[in-house]
Amino acid sequence: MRKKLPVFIGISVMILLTVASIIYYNYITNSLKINELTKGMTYDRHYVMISLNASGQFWQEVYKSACETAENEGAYVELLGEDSSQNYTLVDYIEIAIAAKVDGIILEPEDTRNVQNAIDEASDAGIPVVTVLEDCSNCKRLSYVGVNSYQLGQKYGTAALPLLQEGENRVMVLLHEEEKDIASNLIFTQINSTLQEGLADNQTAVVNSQSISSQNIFDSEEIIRDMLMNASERPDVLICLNEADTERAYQAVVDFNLVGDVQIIGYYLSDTIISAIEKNNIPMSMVVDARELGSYGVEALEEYRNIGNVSDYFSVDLTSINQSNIMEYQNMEEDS
Amino acid sequence: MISKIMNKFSRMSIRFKLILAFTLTAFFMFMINLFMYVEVNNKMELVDQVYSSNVDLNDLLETLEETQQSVYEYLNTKSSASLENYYRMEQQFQNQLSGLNRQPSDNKLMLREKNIANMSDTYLTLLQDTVQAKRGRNVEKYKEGYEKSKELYQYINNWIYELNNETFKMNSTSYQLLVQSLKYMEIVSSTVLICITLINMLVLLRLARNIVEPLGNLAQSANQVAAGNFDVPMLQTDSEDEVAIVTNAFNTMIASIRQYIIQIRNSMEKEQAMKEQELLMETHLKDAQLKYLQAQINPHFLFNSLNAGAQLAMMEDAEQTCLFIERMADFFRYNVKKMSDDATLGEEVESVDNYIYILNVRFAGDIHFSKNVDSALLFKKIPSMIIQPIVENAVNYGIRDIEWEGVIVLSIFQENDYIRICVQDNGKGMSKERIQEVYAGEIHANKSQKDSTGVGLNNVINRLQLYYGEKNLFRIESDGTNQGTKVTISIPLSEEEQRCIESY
Repeated sequence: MRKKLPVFIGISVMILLTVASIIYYNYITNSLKINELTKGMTYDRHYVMISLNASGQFWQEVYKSACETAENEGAYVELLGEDSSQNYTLVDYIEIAIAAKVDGIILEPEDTRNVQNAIDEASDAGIPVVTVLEDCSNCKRLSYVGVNSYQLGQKYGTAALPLLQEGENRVMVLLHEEEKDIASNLIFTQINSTLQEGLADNQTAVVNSQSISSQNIFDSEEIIRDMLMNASERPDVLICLNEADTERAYQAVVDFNLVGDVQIIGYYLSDTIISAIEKNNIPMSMVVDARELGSYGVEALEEYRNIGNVSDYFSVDLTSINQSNIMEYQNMEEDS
Repeated sequence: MISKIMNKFSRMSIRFKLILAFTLTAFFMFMINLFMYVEVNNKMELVDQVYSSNVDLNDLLETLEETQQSVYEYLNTKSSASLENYYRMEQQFQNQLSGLNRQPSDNKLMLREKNIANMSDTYLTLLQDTVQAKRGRNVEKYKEGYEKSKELYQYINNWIYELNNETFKMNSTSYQLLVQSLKYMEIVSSTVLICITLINMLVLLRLARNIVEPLGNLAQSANQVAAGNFDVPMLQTDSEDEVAIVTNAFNTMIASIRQYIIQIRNSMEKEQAMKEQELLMETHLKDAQLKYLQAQINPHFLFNSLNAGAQLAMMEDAEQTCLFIERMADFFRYNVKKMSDDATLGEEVESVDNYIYILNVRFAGDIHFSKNVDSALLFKKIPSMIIQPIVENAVNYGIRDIEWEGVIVLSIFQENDYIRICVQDNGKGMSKERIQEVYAGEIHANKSQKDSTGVGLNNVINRLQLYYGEKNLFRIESDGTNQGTKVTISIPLSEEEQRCIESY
């Protein structure tokens, strides 16, 4: 009996080895994710989110939040303007979305005639359009999600006040050409009035605006550098209304060794901006709740689909972040 | 469970064990190869599928271009040929679109497919409207439609192009993964094959040893047996295969060889004993003969002389003398002649008669001899020279020198399975001690005894014992001094002889 034992152990080991290696092999090939091509969840509805700044961290955050909200409702959000090698304009993207017969459009618009027309076209084709962050007046957009321009201007003004010094102060607001519309004007005038009202007796402030065209990619960079190099025109306070401008301005201030001389009030918290605030190189940055922006956008579309009607305006929180509350804010972000 | 299987396995024949071992190995090899082929095929199918998607997209791109071209041609020329061409291309384009995904998905490629499909639908509808407008000569509308379709064409073109690029990128990654997984498979399968081969070799080695070991033991035992050592231990087997059968047969053979050896040894011992007996007998006969010859110098000369004396007595009419001499000649002739052969009881009795006659002549009729013989027994063959020495003893030690008249009675009769030869005298008798001495053979014939024929009692007792292989055939009885002696010889009778005697 004992003699036969090795034979049986041998045969058992043979079987075990074969089975084990097949299992191991399956495990290995499964971990290679070779079949990912055709895999994917399917959804009932297809929304697109269009922004020309889609590749920025802010919009990625918005998109992520929109996706999460949409997924709960059984819809999928596609982000356009992110990786297109074609130089598509907003209108192009809207046309594409219409042609692709999507179920809804979430859009960061420009308040131009063409865009208004495109939005109207989409609406006529039965595709609801929700504008986000920026509003587009005089068109058939369904709803607007974002910060009130009036409120935004006030916030910027209030934020700039403590940065002013005795004597004359130059304040520069960076606007984009496309935004030189009602909303932008509203922000600018509100900043100006808030500052003038809050000035101390021994202070004066000259508030100027600089328009930057977003048609030519590197213009904004050049304009900011020109502005800082010229000592006579150099502003004491520089107000940026978007993430990209904030980063460019900060980089230029660092390069020209003007930290402390030129105070930047930024917009949004990218990694660069966060570290700048932590070092107190940027005294303050305005943060729109990106998550709220994304999820409200999707919620507006869903609400319209379900009820057939939806509120015209969704207000999103705006927070000013400085060195003292940045840690708290980040922790909160992590928690959410 | 395992022990059950093992028991079953040990009961299998070697042939079956070998077949089982080879079949199992082959089975495993086959399974692994099968698994490998199936996997390779699956992967190859995946590669095919992956690359066919690129090919499909290229086709789609071409058809799109041709459709746009055909519409342009129609709008340009309004020829029926170009219209037909447009319809054909539109149909083809629609067919190709049917293969695309139309469900929203979080997979980028699938989503792109959906967009392309929907955009193409919109595009085709637009083309239809445009063509319709051209036919209706609505110049404004078809111009606008064409412009719009060009735009859409460009979008779709770009999207397909991008999808194609992305698919190709994905395909390249997939292909690398495939190659990697095939490499993994190579490693896994070679490892398994090597391991299985090794284990199989071990199993076969073990199996071969299980087969060869008992054979070796068997051969060793057989060699020992061949060398003459039959006391080899029985071989043990715990299996029931062919080797076990041979081993068991070998064990049986060894057992029966031992049995035979014991039998042969027994019969050889018996034969040896018989030969010894024969030799002893011969020695005694020779001894008796020698003693007789010592006593008789040249018996032939004596016979001849005696015969001459008898003739002389006859011529002189001395009948008594003649008879005496004849009797004496007969007696001695018998003694000489019969010493080596068996004699009949009758011849023995005659010899005794002659002896008594001679003695009576010598001692002037002092010996009163009478006999009581059953004549039916006279044919019985017995060793020669048995009765006469007893009678001689009776004469020499029994009735010689007694005061009264000596009588010797010889009686021969059948008693049960024996012939009893009884010689009784009324002489001096014997003490018990002396009888014992005679049995023990301690009394030797006195060589100086001149009257003896030379054959002693001792000789008679031994010969009887050797001849019949039985003891106690010779018995001496005496009630003591002067009470006479009775000597009885018992001759065993076979059943056939008994029947013969009864029928006589």
